[in-house]
Amino acid sequence: MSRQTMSVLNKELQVAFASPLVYVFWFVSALLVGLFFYLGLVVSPEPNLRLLTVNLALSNIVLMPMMGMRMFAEEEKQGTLEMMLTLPGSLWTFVVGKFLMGMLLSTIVLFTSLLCAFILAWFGTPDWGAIASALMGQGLCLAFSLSVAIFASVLTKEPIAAGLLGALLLLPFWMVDSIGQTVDTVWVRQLFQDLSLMQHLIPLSKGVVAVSDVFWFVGGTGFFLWATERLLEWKRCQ
Amino acid sequence: MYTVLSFSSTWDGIVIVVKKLSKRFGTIQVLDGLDCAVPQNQVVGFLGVNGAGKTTTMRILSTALQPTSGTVTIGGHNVLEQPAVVRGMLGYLPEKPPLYPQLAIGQYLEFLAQFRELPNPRKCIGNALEKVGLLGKEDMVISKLSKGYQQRVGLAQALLHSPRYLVLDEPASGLDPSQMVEIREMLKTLAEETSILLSTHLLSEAERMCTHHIILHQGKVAQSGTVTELGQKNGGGVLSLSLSSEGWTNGKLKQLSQLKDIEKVSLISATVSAVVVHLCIAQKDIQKVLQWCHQQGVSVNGYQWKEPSLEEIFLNVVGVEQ
Repeated sequence: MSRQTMSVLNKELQVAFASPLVYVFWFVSALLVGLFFYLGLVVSPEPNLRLLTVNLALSNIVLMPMMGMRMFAEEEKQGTLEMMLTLPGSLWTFVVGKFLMGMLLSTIVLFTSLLCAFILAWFGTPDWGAIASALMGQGLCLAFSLSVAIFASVLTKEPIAAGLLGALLLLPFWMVDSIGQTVDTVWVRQLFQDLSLMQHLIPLSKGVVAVSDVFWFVGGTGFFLWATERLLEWKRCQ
Repeated sequence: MYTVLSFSSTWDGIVIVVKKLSKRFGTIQVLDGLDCAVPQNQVVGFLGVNGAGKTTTMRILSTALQPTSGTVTIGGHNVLEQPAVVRGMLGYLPEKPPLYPQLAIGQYLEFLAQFRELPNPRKCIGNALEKVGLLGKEDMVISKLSKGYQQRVGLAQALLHSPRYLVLDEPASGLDPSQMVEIREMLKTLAEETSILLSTHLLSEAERMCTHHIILHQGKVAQSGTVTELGQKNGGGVLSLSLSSEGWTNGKLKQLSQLKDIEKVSLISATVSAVVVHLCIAQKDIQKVLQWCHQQGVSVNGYQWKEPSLEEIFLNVVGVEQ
Protein backbone atom coordinates (compact mmCIF):
# COMPACT_ATOMS: atom_id res chain seq x y z
CA MET A 1 0.00 0.00 0.00
CA SER A 2 1.33 3.43 -0.93
CA ARG A 3 2.09 6.10 1.66
CA GLN A 4 -0.66 8.25 0.18
CA THR A 5 -3.27 5.51 0.60
CA MET A 6 -2.03 4.96 4.16
CA SER A 7 -2.40 8.67 4.92
CA VAL A 8 -5.98 8.65 3.57
CA LEU A 9 -6.79 5.52 5.59
CA ASN A 10 -5.33 7.09 8.72
CA LYS A 11 -7.26 10.31 8.23
CA GLU A 12 -10.49 8.44 7.49
CA LEU A 13 -10.14 6.47 10.71
CA GLN A 14 -9.52 9.67 12.70
CA VAL A 15 -12.60 11.31 11.17
CA ALA A 16 -14.73 8.17 11.63
CA PHE A 17 -13.87 7.73 15.31
CA ALA A 18 -14.69 11.37 15.95
CA SER A 19 -18.29 10.56 15.03
CA PRO A 20 -20.73 8.34 16.99
CA LEU A 21 -21.76 6.66 13.72
CA VAL A 22 -18.99 4.04 14.03
CA TYR A 23 -20.11 2.99 17.47
CA VAL A 24 -23.75 2.83 16.37
CA PHE A 25 -22.67 0.74 13.37
CA TRP A 26 -20.68 -1.64 15.57
CA PHE A 27 -23.48 -1.97 18.09
CA VAL A 28 -26.17 -2.65 15.46
CA SER A 29 -23.87 -5.08 13.57
CA ALA A 30 -23.02 -7.09 16.69
CA LEU A 31 -26.69 -7.15 17.70
CA LEU A 32 -27.78 -8.37 14.27
CA VAL A 33 -25.11 -11.09 14.15
CA GLY A 34 -26.21 -12.36 17.56
CA LEU A 35 -29.86 -12.23 16.61
CA PHE A 36 -29.41 -13.96 13.24
CA PHE A 37 -27.19 -16.62 14.84
CA TYR A 38 -29.77 -17.37 17.48
CA LEU A 39 -32.69 -17.42 15.00
CA GLY A 40 -30.65 -19.60 12.62
CA LEU A 41 -30.12 -22.15 15.37
CA VAL A 42 -33.81 -22.11 16.29
CA VAL A 43 -34.93 -22.64 12.66
CA SER A 44 -32.23 -25.13 11.68
CA PRO A 45 -30.02 -26.47 14.49
CA GLU A 46 -26.95 -27.22 12.31
CA PRO A 47 -23.36 -26.42 13.32
CA ASN A 48 -22.68 -23.92 10.49
CA LEU A 49 -23.06 -20.22 9.64
CA ARG A 50 -25.25 -20.71 6.55
CA LEU A 51 -28.38 -18.86 7.70
CA LEU A 52 -26.37 -16.20 9.52
CA THR A 53 -24.42 -15.41 6.33
CA VAL A 54 -27.53 -15.21 4.16
CA ASN A 55 -29.41 -13.02 6.63
CA LEU A 56 -26.43 -10.73 7.10
CA ALA A 57 -26.36 -10.15 3.34
CA LEU A 58 -29.85 -8.72 3.64
CA SER A 59 -28.89 -6.46 6.53
CA ASN A 60 -25.99 -5.17 4.45
CA ILE A 61 -28.54 -3.34 2.32
CA VAL A 62 -29.04 -0.98 5.25
CA LEU A 63 -25.77 -1.25 7.18
CA MET A 64 -23.25 -0.65 4.42
CA PRO A 65 -24.93 2.45 2.96
CA MET A 66 -24.93 3.75 6.54
CA MET A 67 -21.19 3.17 6.63
CA GLY A 68 -20.44 4.60 3.18
CA MET A 69 -22.93 7.43 2.90
CA ARG A 70 -20.58 10.10 4.27
CA MET A 71 -17.46 9.06 2.45
CA PHE A 72 -17.57 11.38 -0.58
CA ALA A 73 -20.89 13.16 0.00
CA GLU A 74 -19.52 14.76 3.17
CA GLU A 75 -16.26 15.67 1.39
CA GLU A 76 -18.25 17.55 -1.25
CA LYS A 77 -20.49 19.19 1.32
CA GLN A 78 -17.62 20.53 3.44
CA GLY A 79 -15.55 21.60 0.42
CA THR A 80 -12.70 19.12 0.89
CA LEU A 81 -13.49 17.31 -2.36
CA GLU A 82 -12.21 20.36 -4.25
CA MET A 83 -8.94 20.16 -2.32
CA MET A 84 -8.80 16.43 -3.01
CA LEU A 85 -8.99 17.13 -6.74
CA THR A 86 -6.03 19.50 -6.49
CA LEU A 87 -3.67 17.27 -4.52
CA PRO A 88 -0.83 15.52 -6.33
CA GLY A 89 -1.74 11.87 -6.49
CA SER A 90 -4.28 9.61 -8.07
CA LEU A 91 -7.91 9.74 -7.06
CA TRP A 92 -7.57 5.98 -6.60
CA THR A 93 -5.69 6.64 -3.38
CA PHE A 94 -8.81 8.28 -1.92
CA VAL A 95 -11.16 5.60 -3.23
CA VAL A 96 -8.98 2.74 -1.95
CA GLY A 97 -8.20 4.51 1.35
CA LYS A 98 -11.88 5.04 2.10
CA PHE A 99 -12.75 1.50 1.01
CA LEU A 100 -10.09 0.06 3.32
CA MET A 101 -11.37 2.15 6.21
CA GLY A 102 -14.89 0.82 5.61
CA MET A 103 -13.61 -2.75 5.45
CA LEU A 104 -11.57 -2.32 8.62
CA LEU A 105 -14.59 -1.06 10.53
CA SER A 106 -16.74 -3.83 9.06
CA THR A 107 -14.48 -6.55 10.44
CA ILE A 108 -16.69 -6.35 13.55
CA VAL A 109 -19.21 -8.43 11.58
CA LEU A 110 -16.62 -11.11 10.78
CA PHE A 111 -15.26 -11.00 14.32
CA THR A 112 -18.65 -11.55 15.95
CA SER A 113 -19.45 -14.26 13.37
CA LEU A 114 -16.22 -15.97 14.34
CA LEU A 115 -17.30 -15.82 17.99
CA CYS A 116 -20.52 -17.56 16.90
CA ALA A 117 -18.41 -20.28 15.23
CA PHE A 118 -16.52 -20.79 18.53
CA ILE A 119 -19.85 -21.16 20.33
CA LEU A 120 -20.81 -23.84 17.77
CA ALA A 121 -17.48 -25.58 18.38
CA TRP A 122 -18.16 -25.49 22.12
CA PHE A 123 -21.42 -27.36 21.76
CA GLY A 124 -20.81 -29.42 18.60
CA THR A 125 -18.38 -30.27 15.84
CA PRO A 126 -18.72 -27.74 13.04
CA ASP A 127 -17.16 -28.17 9.59
CA TRP A 128 -14.41 -25.57 9.80
CA GLY A 129 -14.05 -25.57 6.00
CA ALA A 130 -17.69 -24.54 5.64
CA ILE A 131 -17.26 -21.95 8.41
CA ALA A 132 -14.24 -20.46 6.64
CA SER A 133 -16.14 -20.41 3.35
CA ALA A 134 -19.13 -18.71 4.98
CA LEU A 135 -16.85 -16.10 6.58
CA MET A 136 -15.24 -15.52 3.19
CA GLY A 137 -18.71 -15.09 1.71
CA GLN A 138 -19.56 -12.55 4.41
CA GLY A 139 -16.34 -10.64 3.74
CA LEU A 140 -16.92 -10.62 -0.03
CA CYS A 141 -20.51 -9.54 0.45
CA LEU A 142 -19.43 -6.72 2.78
CA ALA A 143 -16.84 -5.55 0.24
CA PHE A 144 -19.36 -5.57 -2.59
CA SER A 145 -22.03 -3.73 -0.58
CA LEU A 146 -19.48 -1.18 0.63
CA SER A 147 -18.25 -0.47 -2.90
CA VAL A 148 -21.86 0.19 -4.00
CA ALA A 149 -22.37 2.48 -0.98
CA ILE A 150 -19.17 4.41 -1.79
CA PHE A 151 -20.29 4.78 -5.40
CA ALA A 152 -23.64 6.16 -4.19
CA SER A 153 -21.86 8.70 -2.00
CA VAL A 154 -20.26 10.31 -5.08
CA LEU A 155 -23.65 10.80 -6.69
CA THR A 156 -24.86 13.42 -4.21
CA LYS A 157 -23.48 15.78 -1.59
CA GLU A 158 -26.20 14.95 0.92
CA PRO A 159 -25.07 12.03 3.11
CA ILE A 160 -28.62 10.92 3.93
CA ALA A 161 -29.56 10.94 0.25
CA ALA A 162 -26.36 8.99 -0.49
CA GLY A 163 -27.34 6.39 2.10
CA LEU A 164 -30.80 5.95 0.64
CA LEU A 165 -29.36 5.82 -2.87
CA GLY A 166 -26.89 3.15 -1.77
CA ALA A 167 -29.70 1.01 -0.34
CA LEU A 168 -31.67 1.53 -3.52
CA LEU A 169 -28.73 0.42 -5.67
CA LEU A 170 -28.14 -2.67 -3.52
CA LEU A 171 -31.74 -3.79 -3.43
CA PRO A 172 -31.92 -5.06 -7.06
CA PHE A 173 -28.93 -7.37 -6.48
CA TRP A 174 -30.93 -9.04 -3.76
CA MET A 175 -34.32 -9.02 -5.50
CA VAL A 176 -33.27 -9.84 -9.05
CA ASP A 177 -33.35 -13.57 -8.37
CA SER A 178 -36.99 -13.52 -7.26
CA ILE A 179 -37.92 -11.38 -10.27
CA GLY A 180 -36.07 -13.82 -12.55
CA GLN A 181 -38.21 -16.71 -11.34
CA THR A 182 -41.32 -15.00 -12.72
CA VAL A 183 -39.81 -14.74 -16.23
CA ASP A 184 -40.47 -17.56 -18.73
CA THR A 185 -37.62 -16.83 -21.15
CA VAL A 186 -34.72 -19.07 -20.15
CA TRP A 187 -31.82 -16.78 -21.04
CA VAL A 188 -33.43 -13.81 -19.23
CA ARG A 189 -33.99 -15.98 -16.17
CA GLN A 190 -30.35 -17.10 -16.37
CA LEU A 191 -29.19 -13.49 -16.70
CA PHE A 192 -31.20 -12.49 -13.64
CA GLN A 193 -29.75 -15.39 -11.69
CA ASP A 194 -26.23 -14.41 -12.73
CA LEU A 195 -26.83 -10.88 -11.48
CA SER A 196 -28.25 -12.11 -8.20
CA LEU A 197 -26.07 -11.66 -5.13
CA MET A 198 -27.79 -14.54 -3.34
CA GLN A 199 -27.10 -16.99 -6.14
CA HIS A 200 -23.38 -16.43 -5.56
CA LEU A 201 -23.49 -16.16 -1.79
CA ILE A 202 -25.57 -19.24 -0.92
CA PRO A 203 -22.96 -21.75 -2.23
CA LEU A 204 -20.26 -19.96 -0.22
CA SER A 205 -22.43 -20.02 2.90
CA LYS A 206 -22.72 -23.81 2.51
CA GLY A 207 -18.99 -24.30 2.08
CA VAL A 208 -18.95 -24.63 -1.71
CA VAL A 209 -16.25 -22.31 -3.04
CA ALA A 210 -16.56 -21.73 -6.78
CA VAL A 211 -14.15 -19.42 -8.58
CA SER A 212 -17.06 -17.90 -10.52
CA ASP A 213 -18.81 -16.89 -7.28
CA VAL A 214 -15.66 -15.34 -5.82
CA PHE A 215 -15.01 -13.57 -9.12
CA TRP A 216 -18.59 -12.19 -9.11
CA PHE A 217 -17.96 -10.44 -5.78
CA VAL A 218 -14.40 -9.35 -6.54
CA GLY A 219 -15.34 -8.17 -10.04
CA GLY A 220 -18.44 -6.36 -8.77
CA THR A 221 -16.47 -4.63 -6.01
CA GLY A 222 -13.76 -3.64 -8.49
CA PHE A 223 -16.34 -2.34 -10.94
CA PHE A 224 -18.05 -0.05 -8.41
CA LEU A 225 -14.73 1.27 -7.08
CA TRP A 226 -13.62 1.93 -10.65
CA ALA A 227 -16.95 3.68 -11.37
CA THR A 228 -16.41 5.82 -8.25
CA GLU A 229 -12.97 6.93 -9.45
CA ARG A 230 -14.33 7.66 -12.95
CA LEU A 231 -17.19 9.69 -11.51
CA LEU A 232 -14.78 11.76 -9.43
CA GLU A 233 -12.66 12.40 -12.52
CA TRP A 234 -15.81 13.31 -14.42
CA LYS A 235 -16.67 15.90 -11.76
CA ARG A 236 -13.39 17.61 -12.60
CA CYS A 237 -14.46 17.90 -16.25
CA GLN A 238 -17.86 19.37 -15.43
CA MET B 1 -2.88 40.15 -27.33
CA TYR B 2 -2.59 39.14 -23.69
CA THR B 3 -3.48 41.41 -20.89
CA VAL B 4 0.05 41.14 -19.61
CA LEU B 5 1.21 43.39 -22.46
CA SER B 6 -0.61 46.25 -20.87
CA PHE B 7 1.10 45.62 -17.55
CA SER B 8 4.31 47.19 -16.40
CA SER B 9 7.45 45.95 -18.14
CA THR B 10 9.48 45.86 -14.94
CA TRP B 11 8.52 42.29 -14.04
CA ASP B 12 11.10 39.55 -13.96
CA GLY B 13 8.90 37.15 -15.86
CA ILE B 14 5.44 35.81 -16.36
CA VAL B 15 4.71 32.60 -14.45
CA ILE B 16 1.01 32.05 -15.01
CA VAL B 17 -0.35 32.49 -18.52
CA VAL B 18 -4.02 32.07 -19.38
CA LYS B 19 -4.93 32.04 -23.07
CA LYS B 20 -8.42 32.20 -24.55
CA LEU B 21 -9.88 30.38 -21.58
CA SER B 22 -13.54 29.41 -21.90
CA LYS B 23 -15.80 27.50 -19.58
CA ARG B 24 -19.41 26.65 -20.17
CA PHE B 25 -21.74 25.09 -17.60
CA GLY B 26 -24.66 23.82 -19.66
CA THR B 27 -26.03 26.87 -21.41
CA ILE B 28 -24.19 29.34 -19.19
CA GLN B 29 -20.95 30.75 -20.57
CA VAL B 30 -18.96 31.59 -17.43
CA LEU B 31 -15.62 32.32 -19.08
CA ASP B 32 -15.50 33.70 -22.57
CA GLY B 33 -12.00 33.73 -24.05
CA LEU B 34 -10.21 35.02 -20.98
CA ASP B 35 -6.59 36.12 -21.46
CA CYS B 36 -4.46 37.11 -18.51
CA ALA B 37 -1.10 36.58 -16.86
CA VAL B 38 0.54 36.69 -13.46
CA PRO B 39 4.11 37.90 -13.06
CA GLN B 40 6.75 36.33 -10.85
CA ASN B 41 6.83 37.29 -7.17
CA GLN B 42 3.92 39.70 -7.34
CA VAL B 43 0.57 39.77 -5.60
CA VAL B 44 -2.09 40.10 -8.27
CA GLY B 45 -5.68 40.90 -7.37
CA PHE B 46 -8.42 39.16 -9.29
CA LEU B 47 -11.45 41.41 -9.11
CA GLY B 48 -14.97 41.20 -10.41
CA VAL B 49 -18.60 41.19 -9.41
CA ASN B 50 -20.25 37.91 -8.40
CA GLY B 51 -20.52 35.66 -11.43
CA ALA B 52 -17.71 37.39 -13.31
CA GLY B 53 -15.76 34.11 -13.46
CA LYS B 54 -13.12 34.57 -10.74
CA THR B 55 -13.75 31.34 -8.85
CA THR B 56 -14.13 29.32 -12.06
CA THR B 57 -10.79 30.62 -13.34
CA MET B 58 -9.12 29.84 -10.03
CA ARG B 59 -10.57 26.34 -9.98
CA ILE B 60 -9.19 25.75 -13.47
CA LEU B 61 -5.77 27.09 -12.43
CA SER B 62 -5.75 24.73 -9.45
CA THR B 63 -6.71 21.74 -11.69
CA ALA B 64 -9.98 21.18 -9.77
CA LEU B 65 -11.88 21.91 -12.97
CA GLN B 66 -11.18 21.49 -16.65
CA PRO B 67 -11.85 24.30 -19.12
CA THR B 68 -14.12 23.94 -22.14
CA SER B 69 -11.34 25.42 -24.27
CA GLY B 70 -8.18 27.46 -23.93
CA THR B 71 -4.87 26.85 -22.22
CA VAL B 72 -3.33 27.61 -18.85
CA THR B 73 0.36 27.26 -18.13
CA ILE B 74 1.82 27.59 -14.66
CA GLY B 75 5.59 27.78 -14.39
CA GLY B 76 5.77 26.58 -17.99
CA HIS B 77 3.59 23.51 -17.33
CA ASN B 78 0.25 23.07 -19.01
CA VAL B 79 -2.42 22.34 -16.39
CA LEU B 80 -4.22 19.91 -18.67
CA GLU B 81 -1.15 18.02 -19.85
CA GLN B 82 0.90 18.02 -16.64
CA PRO B 83 -1.62 18.39 -13.81
CA ALA B 84 0.46 16.38 -11.34
CA VAL B 85 3.45 18.73 -11.76
CA VAL B 86 1.22 21.78 -11.36
CA ARG B 87 -0.43 20.33 -8.23
CA GLY B 88 2.98 19.82 -6.68
CA MET B 89 4.04 23.45 -6.98
CA LEU B 90 0.72 25.22 -6.49
CA GLY B 91 -0.98 26.13 -3.24
CA TYR B 92 -4.72 26.63 -3.47
CA LEU B 93 -7.20 28.03 -1.00
CA PRO B 94 -10.77 27.60 -2.26
CA GLU B 95 -13.54 30.06 -1.45
CA LYS B 96 -14.70 27.75 1.35
CA PRO B 97 -11.67 26.59 3.39
CA PRO B 98 -11.31 22.82 2.83
CA LEU B 99 -11.32 21.55 6.41
CA TYR B 100 -12.21 18.39 8.31
CA PRO B 101 -14.03 19.85 11.33
CA GLN B 102 -13.59 16.66 13.38
CA LEU B 103 -9.78 16.81 13.23
CA ALA B 104 -7.32 18.88 15.21
CA ILE B 105 -5.22 21.39 13.23
CA GLY B 106 -2.11 19.20 13.64
CA GLN B 107 -3.90 16.02 12.50
CA TYR B 108 -5.28 17.79 9.45
CA LEU B 109 -1.95 19.20 8.35
CA GLU B 110 -0.17 15.94 9.10
CA PHE B 111 -2.54 14.11 6.76
CA LEU B 112 -1.80 16.59 3.99
CA ALA B 113 1.95 16.51 4.63
CA GLN B 114 1.93 12.71 4.45
CA PHE B 115 -0.25 12.71 1.36
CA ARG B 116 2.06 15.18 -0.37
CA GLU B 117 4.97 12.98 0.76
CA LEU B 118 6.86 15.97 2.14
CA PRO B 119 10.39 15.06 3.25
CA ASN B 120 10.15 16.69 6.69
CA PRO B 121 6.46 16.89 7.63
CA ARG B 122 6.99 18.26 11.16
CA LYS B 123 9.11 21.13 9.92
CA CYS B 124 6.71 21.92 7.05
CA ILE B 125 3.74 21.99 9.43
CA GLY B 126 5.64 24.21 11.87
CA ASN B 127 6.61 26.64 9.10
CA ALA B 128 3.07 26.84 7.71
CA LEU B 129 1.55 27.38 11.16
CA GLU B 130 4.13 30.05 11.96
CA LYS B 131 3.30 31.92 8.77
CA VAL B 132 -0.41 32.06 9.62
CA GLY B 133 0.14 32.71 13.32
CA LEU B 134 -1.15 29.38 14.62
CA LEU B 135 2.06 27.90 15.98
CA GLY B 136 1.38 26.10 19.25
CA LYS B 137 -2.30 25.60 18.45
CA GLU B 138 -1.92 22.19 16.74
CA ASP B 139 -4.18 20.44 19.24
CA MET B 140 -7.17 22.72 18.71
CA VAL B 141 -10.09 20.98 17.02
CA ILE B 142 -11.05 22.73 13.78
CA SER B 143 -14.82 22.73 14.46
CA LYS B 144 -14.21 24.76 17.62
CA LEU B 145 -12.25 27.52 15.85
CA SER B 146 -13.67 30.91 14.87
CA LYS B 147 -14.20 31.63 11.16
CA GLY B 148 -11.06 33.73 11.03
CA TYR B 149 -8.97 30.93 12.56
CA GLN B 150 -10.50 28.39 10.19
CA GLN B 151 -9.52 30.66 7.32
CA ARG B 152 -5.96 30.65 8.66
CA VAL B 153 -5.93 26.85 8.81
CA GLY B 154 -7.11 26.87 5.18
CA LEU B 155 -4.21 29.17 4.35
CA ALA B 156 -1.79 26.92 6.24
CA GLN B 157 -2.80 23.92 4.07
CA ALA B 158 -2.13 26.03 0.96
CA LEU B 159 1.33 26.99 2.28
CA LEU B 160 2.26 23.58 3.69
CA HIS B 161 4.47 22.46 0.80
CA SER B 162 6.06 25.90 0.28
CA PRO B 163 4.49 26.35 -3.15
CA ARG B 164 6.00 28.60 -5.78
CA TYR B 165 2.54 29.73 -6.86
CA LEU B 166 -0.45 30.56 -4.71
CA VAL B 167 -4.05 30.84 -5.82
CA LEU B 168 -6.22 32.24 -3.05
CA ASP B 169 -9.97 32.64 -3.42
CA GLU B 170 -11.18 35.24 -0.94
CA PRO B 171 -8.35 34.78 1.61
CA ALA B 172 -9.53 37.76 3.66
CA SER B 173 -13.06 36.40 4.06
CA GLY B 174 -14.15 36.24 7.69
CA LEU B 175 -11.08 37.98 9.05
CA ASP B 176 -11.29 40.86 11.48
CA PRO B 177 -9.39 44.10 10.73
CA SER B 178 -6.32 43.13 12.77
CA GLN B 179 -6.18 39.69 11.14
CA MET B 180 -6.46 41.37 7.74
CA VAL B 181 -3.40 43.47 8.52
CA GLU B 182 -1.53 40.29 9.51
CA ILE B 183 -2.58 38.47 6.33
CA ARG B 184 -1.59 41.48 4.24
CA GLU B 185 1.87 41.55 5.80
CA MET B 186 2.15 37.79 5.42
CA LEU B 187 1.31 37.96 1.71
CA LYS B 188 3.86 40.71 1.19
CA THR B 189 6.52 38.53 2.82
CA LEU B 190 5.42 35.49 0.83
CA ALA B 191 5.57 37.44 -2.43
CA GLU B 192 9.36 37.63 -2.02
CA GLU B 193 9.52 34.05 -3.23
CA THR B 194 5.97 33.23 -4.36
CA SER B 195 3.70 34.47 -7.13
CA ILE B 196 0.23 35.09 -5.77
CA LEU B 197 -3.13 35.44 -7.45
CA LEU B 198 -5.93 36.32 -5.08
CA SER B 199 -9.55 37.23 -5.47
CA THR B 200 -11.41 39.53 -3.14
CA HIS B 201 -14.46 41.73 -2.95
CA LEU B 202 -12.71 44.01 -0.48
CA LEU B 203 -11.33 46.56 -2.91
CA SER B 204 -9.63 48.69 -0.29
CA GLU B 205 -7.79 45.57 0.90
CA ALA B 206 -6.93 44.61 -2.68
CA GLU B 207 -5.46 48.06 -3.20
CA ARG B 208 -3.23 47.58 -0.15
CA MET B 209 -2.33 43.93 -0.71
CA CYS B 210 -1.83 43.70 -4.46
CA THR B 211 0.71 45.24 -6.72
CA HIS B 212 -1.40 44.62 -9.81
CA HIS B 213 -5.05 43.99 -10.56
CA ILE B 214 -7.04 42.09 -13.14
CA ILE B 215 -10.66 43.20 -13.42
CA LEU B 216 -12.97 40.55 -14.78
CA HIS B 217 -16.32 41.32 -16.29
CA GLN B 218 -18.72 38.85 -17.88
CA GLY B 219 -16.08 36.15 -18.24
CA LYS B 220 -13.45 38.35 -19.83
CA VAL B 221 -10.64 40.58 -18.63
CA ALA B 222 -12.03 44.08 -18.77
CA GLN B 223 -8.82 45.84 -17.67
CA SER B 224 -5.60 45.11 -15.86
CA GLY B 225 -2.55 46.88 -14.48
CA THR B 226 -1.40 48.81 -11.45
CA VAL B 227 -3.80 51.27 -9.84
CA THR B 228 -1.98 54.13 -11.60
CA GLU B 229 -2.16 52.36 -14.96
CA LEU B 230 -5.82 51.54 -14.46
CA GLY B 231 -6.47 55.13 -13.42
CA GLN B 232 -4.92 56.41 -16.63
CA LYS B 233 -7.03 54.02 -18.67
CA ASN B 234 -10.11 55.35 -16.96
CA GLY B 235 -9.56 59.03 -17.66
CA GLY B 236 -6.95 59.65 -15.01
CA GLY B 237 -7.78 61.12 -11.63
CA VAL B 238 -10.13 63.80 -10.52
CA LEU B 239 -9.05 67.43 -10.67
CA SER B 240 -10.97 69.61 -8.27
CA LEU B 241 -10.77 73.15 -9.61
CA SER B 242 -11.81 76.15 -7.53
CA LEU B 243 -12.41 79.14 -9.80
CA SER B 244 -13.36 82.73 -9.24
CA SER B 245 -16.93 83.32 -10.37
CA GLU B 246 -15.76 86.55 -12.00
CA GLY B 247 -15.58 85.87 -15.70
CA TRP B 248 -17.28 82.47 -15.37
CA THR B 249 -20.36 81.71 -17.46
CA ASN B 250 -22.26 78.45 -17.88
CA GLY B 251 -21.04 78.27 -21.50
CA LYS B 252 -17.50 77.89 -20.17
CA LEU B 253 -18.42 74.49 -18.70
CA LYS B 254 -19.26 73.18 -22.16
CA GLN B 255 -16.08 74.65 -23.61
CA LEU B 256 -14.07 73.01 -20.86
CA SER B 257 -15.61 69.61 -21.54
CA GLN B 258 -14.68 69.96 -25.21
CA LEU B 259 -10.99 70.28 -24.40
CA LYS B 260 -8.85 67.34 -25.58
CA ASP B 261 -8.09 64.54 -23.05
CA ILE B 262 -10.84 65.57 -20.64
CA GLU B 263 -13.19 62.65 -19.96
CA LYS B 264 -15.88 64.26 -17.85
CA VAL B 265 -16.64 67.69 -16.37
CA SER B 266 -19.07 68.28 -13.51
CA LEU B 267 -20.12 71.47 -11.83
CA ILE B 268 -20.00 70.78 -8.13
CA SER B 269 -21.00 74.16 -6.69
CA ALA B 270 -21.47 77.72 -7.82
CA THR B 271 -21.74 80.64 -5.39
CA VAL B 272 -21.52 84.39 -5.88
CA SER B 273 -17.79 84.36 -5.28
CA ALA B 274 -16.56 80.91 -6.38
CA VAL B 275 -17.22 77.98 -8.68
CA VAL B 276 -16.01 74.42 -8.05
CA VAL B 277 -15.63 72.11 -11.02
CA HIS B 278 -14.50 68.45 -11.11
CA LEU B 279 -12.72 67.10 -14.18
CA CYS B 280 -11.66 63.55 -14.96
CA ILE B 281 -8.19 64.05 -16.24
CA ALA B 282 -4.67 62.60 -16.25
CA GLN B 283 -2.09 64.34 -14.05
CA LYS B 284 -0.05 65.38 -17.08
CA ASP B 285 -2.97 67.38 -18.52
CA ILE B 286 -3.49 69.65 -15.50
CA GLN B 287 -1.30 72.37 -16.97
CA LYS B 288 -3.41 72.39 -20.11
CA VAL B 289 -6.54 73.18 -18.08
CA LEU B 290 -4.82 75.90 -16.05
CA GLN B 291 -3.61 77.47 -19.28
CA TRP B 292 -7.13 77.41 -20.69
CA CYS B 293 -8.46 79.16 -17.58
CA HIS B 294 -5.82 81.83 -17.96
CA GLN B 295 -6.70 82.33 -21.64
CA GLN B 296 -10.42 82.60 -20.76
CA GLY B 297 -9.76 85.18 -18.07
CA VAL B 298 -11.00 82.93 -15.26
CA SER B 299 -8.76 83.13 -12.24
CA VAL B 300 -7.94 79.89 -10.44
CA ASN B 301 -8.25 80.10 -6.66
CA GLY B 302 -6.80 76.65 -6.14
CA TYR B 303 -6.76 73.07 -7.42
CA GLN B 304 -6.21 69.54 -6.15
CA TRP B 305 -5.63 66.38 -8.16
CA LYS B 306 -6.56 63.01 -6.69
CA GLU B 307 -5.63 59.61 -8.10
CA PRO B 308 -8.78 57.47 -8.37
CA SER B 309 -9.21 54.69 -5.85
CA LEU B 310 -9.41 51.09 -7.00
CA GLU B 311 -13.07 51.14 -6.02
CA GLU B 312 -13.77 54.09 -8.31
CA ILE B 313 -11.87 52.43 -11.14
CA PHE B 314 -13.66 49.13 -10.57
CA LEU B 315 -17.09 50.71 -10.59
CA ASN B 316 -16.20 52.63 -13.73
CA VAL B 317 -14.96 49.48 -15.48
CA VAL B 318 -17.88 47.24 -14.60
CA GLY B 319 -20.30 50.02 -15.47
CA VAL B 320 -21.91 50.69 -12.12
CA GLU B 321 -22.98 54.24 -11.50
CA GLN B 322 -21.50 55.80 -8.37
